[in-house]
Amino acid sequence: MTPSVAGPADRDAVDRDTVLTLTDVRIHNDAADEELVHGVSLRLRRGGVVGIVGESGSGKSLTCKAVLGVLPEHIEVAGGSIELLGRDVTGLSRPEWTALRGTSISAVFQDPASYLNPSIRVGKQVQEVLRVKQGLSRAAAKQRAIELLDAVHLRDPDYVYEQYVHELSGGMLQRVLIAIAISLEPEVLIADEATTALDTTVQAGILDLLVELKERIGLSLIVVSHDLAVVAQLCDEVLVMREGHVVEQGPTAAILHAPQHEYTRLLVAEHEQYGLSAAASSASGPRLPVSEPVSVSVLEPVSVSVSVPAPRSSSAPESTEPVLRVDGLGVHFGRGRGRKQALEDASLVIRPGETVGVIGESGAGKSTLARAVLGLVRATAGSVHVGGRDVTHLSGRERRAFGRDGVVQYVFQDPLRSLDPEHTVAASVAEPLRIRGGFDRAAIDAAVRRQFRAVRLDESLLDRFPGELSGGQRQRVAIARALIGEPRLLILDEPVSALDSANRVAILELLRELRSTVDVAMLFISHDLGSVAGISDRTIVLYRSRIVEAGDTARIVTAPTHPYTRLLVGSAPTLTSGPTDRVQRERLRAGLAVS
Amino acid sequence: MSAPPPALTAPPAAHRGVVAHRIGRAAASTARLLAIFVPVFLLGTFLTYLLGHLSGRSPAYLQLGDAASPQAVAVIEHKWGLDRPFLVQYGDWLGSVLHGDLGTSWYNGLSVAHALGQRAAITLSAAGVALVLGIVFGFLLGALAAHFHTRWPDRAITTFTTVISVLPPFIVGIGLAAVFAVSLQLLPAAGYVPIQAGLGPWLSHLLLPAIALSFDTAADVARQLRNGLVSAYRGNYVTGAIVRGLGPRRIFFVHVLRNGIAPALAVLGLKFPNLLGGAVIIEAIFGLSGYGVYASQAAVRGDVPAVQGVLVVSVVLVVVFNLLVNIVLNRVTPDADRGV
Repeated sequence: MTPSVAGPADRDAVDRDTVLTLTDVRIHNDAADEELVHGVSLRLRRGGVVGIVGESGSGKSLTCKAVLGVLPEHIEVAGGSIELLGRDVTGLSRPEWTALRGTSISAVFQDPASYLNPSIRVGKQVQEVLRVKQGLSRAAAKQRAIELLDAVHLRDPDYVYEQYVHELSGGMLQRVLIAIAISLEPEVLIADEATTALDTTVQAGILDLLVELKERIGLSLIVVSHDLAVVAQLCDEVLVMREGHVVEQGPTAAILHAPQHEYTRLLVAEHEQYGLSAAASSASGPRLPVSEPVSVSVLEPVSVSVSVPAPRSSSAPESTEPVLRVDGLGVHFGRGRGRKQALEDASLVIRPGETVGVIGESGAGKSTLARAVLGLVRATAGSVHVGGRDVTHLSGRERRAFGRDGVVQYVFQDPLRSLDPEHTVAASVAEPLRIRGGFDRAAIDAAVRRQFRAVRLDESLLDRFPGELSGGQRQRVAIARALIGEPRLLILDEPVSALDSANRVAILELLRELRSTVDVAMLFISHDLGSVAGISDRTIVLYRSRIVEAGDTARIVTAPTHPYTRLLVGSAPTLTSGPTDRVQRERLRAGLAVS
Repeated sequence: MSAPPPALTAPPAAHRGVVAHRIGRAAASTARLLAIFVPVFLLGTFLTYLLGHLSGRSPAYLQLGDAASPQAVAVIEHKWGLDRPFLVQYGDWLGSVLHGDLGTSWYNGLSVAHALGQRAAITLSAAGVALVLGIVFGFLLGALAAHFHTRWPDRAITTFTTVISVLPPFIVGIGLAAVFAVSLQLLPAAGYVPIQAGLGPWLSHLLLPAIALSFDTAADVARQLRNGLVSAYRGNYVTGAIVRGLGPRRIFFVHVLRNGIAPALAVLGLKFPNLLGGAVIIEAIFGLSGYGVYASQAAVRGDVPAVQGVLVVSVVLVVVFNLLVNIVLNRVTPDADRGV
């Protein structure tokens, strides 16, 4: 509620160009008497884009909520001012806010499905805003709603209009939300983690749409993300936030090329060391366990699968017997008309100590592949050999014995849900040995401590419960549990997707280190090309239940052949992608839609 | 306001497709409805008949008393067709039930369907008024509590609903009768007047029993609705609606109510059998000769066809009511997809 100090003449000059100004905004939690955001200042020009980067808890979302006037109960703007179109909005009444929202400022968020009413057709929700706020008639509002759905490039707007939330994909729902957000032609749109948790190619599509809207209808954007690359791609100016402080602020190029703060340097390093650029630059450099090059047939249509030929056992010595050998694996669910092919004709080989990455969008069959290897889903075609043994059709008893041996271990995306909350982490790590039996208490204890050291966890954490650890520590525990039985193959299913930047880098670093110290092969599954590229010797690309490309990671990243892989590589947010990529992606998308 | 866009010109082909799709959906849901109703009805009637059979009761003892000789018993059982195989008896009985004939009372030889038909109107009136009261007050209290959640009206309503939900209907009934009928003499203490005699007299006779019956329903509906609404308010789609600039009233009625109402509706489905069951006791207190009284008398006498008739009618009422609840639930929250 700070009155503006500028005189009327100055204000007019500023107003013409500026749509939103934050001046030293402080956000306070009255219930806990604690300041959560310690002064944020920014200026958003008409048609401009300002980015805010930071991990969860950095205060970036609270800042957005303050700008929108939707702070949670007991949390208030305690200092500074927020001026939207020349008007201080910190002290607005509820009806004033209701009039302002949607028409002057709007927002889209992470997890688009949750931001739409599940019980009302999505089209009706676009229509609702137009009817309530613009007083359009039912028919006129519907017409306009369908135009808006078309404007956000939903392929069949009439069809989408009639769907419920649960009938559409995340990317489509985010487009619906953007359609609603721009329906009343607001000046400012806040995109708060709007592309987080979407597939890479879908994310690129949404970001492209935001840029297009900015250019076409002069929208001013605030883009919030934990991913520096997402922000770098779009924004003129970037704020880096951590623990409620703005640690660095400036033009995007300056932040990227000369990061001052330690945290910003970490964010930049994440991309340089574990992103695409890292994988590409190491194409000629040495990789840790050098594997034989794998021949990959170059293919045009989507429907052709690639099989990675296994070395002939006669010519190969005993030690190169592959850890995992999958031949023509197929999995389908359901029967008759409801039959869904989840994986088709997948073949791959992993040799001892080798790391193979699997990448693909959600629903492409990545997890089905992993689950079929483990025997959690039944293969309907082909075979799976683990360490030379056919494990495709084990009986229940054989399957349990195979599980007890712990030849293959699994690390899940969400360590909090994969660790028993009622067990200490030491007990969780010890469990595989207990199940196998034949170890005394001292041996188990020693093994657990050894694993804790191997994953760089402090031994003081042994008796903690999962809920008392950080996300990164929990994932280390999960990895320790997977490694304690000395498996030959470790399947990592999106192991870093739920972690923030700092932890993601640390876990990837740990995995890289384990690769050289522990004799274990890894199957690394991710939707994020950057993480796969940073760690894998070879990479397999899954698209619509088929392997469409496979080969040396550096080759995939630098010279992808399949259109989907090319789109994927072109979509992965990097610190340097420019406007030309957008046109390229447009073309690739059109190509994929046809095939 | 901005100029309205040009008039809607929907492509007719697409429109026809949507209509055909909707008809298809309606047909599919009708088929699913039958697919649920028929097996439940068959199982319910079979168990009902089996219970009567297993009870070992016979019209002979009811009519002959201590004078029953084996020959006389055999004659009477033959007359009633009870010497035939069980499944034949069941098939025969089910056939007549489907024609609306619930058999003949062993006690007085009168048609069970006829006797029940007269009494069902009384019971259904009492249960129906109780249901309406339960819904109205349950929804009011629940919505109020949710609106003021964690503040004093919420706590007061929670306390109140907890108290009334543990009061048994017969205690409430006696208390209500003592206060409103005996002391204040505002309402009649007993008896029933058919609705043909006028809405006022009909309602005045039913009000006290219905209130006594409705307490439990009102309390449960209020509590479920409160919790449903409070959690719906936490949904991101509410934040979404706020950010779109929708007003609080619209958010409540269009977005929150619709998503928070499901548990309260589901509870209604569970409460309906209780209302029918509770009517048995309430009828006794308020001197209503409804089907609860009929059922209890028939059970005491060992009048198997009468008891079976009551059970069949109850099964049909409860199943139909639950199907209605499920249909409403599906319309309100289509994403839950309950099959019916």
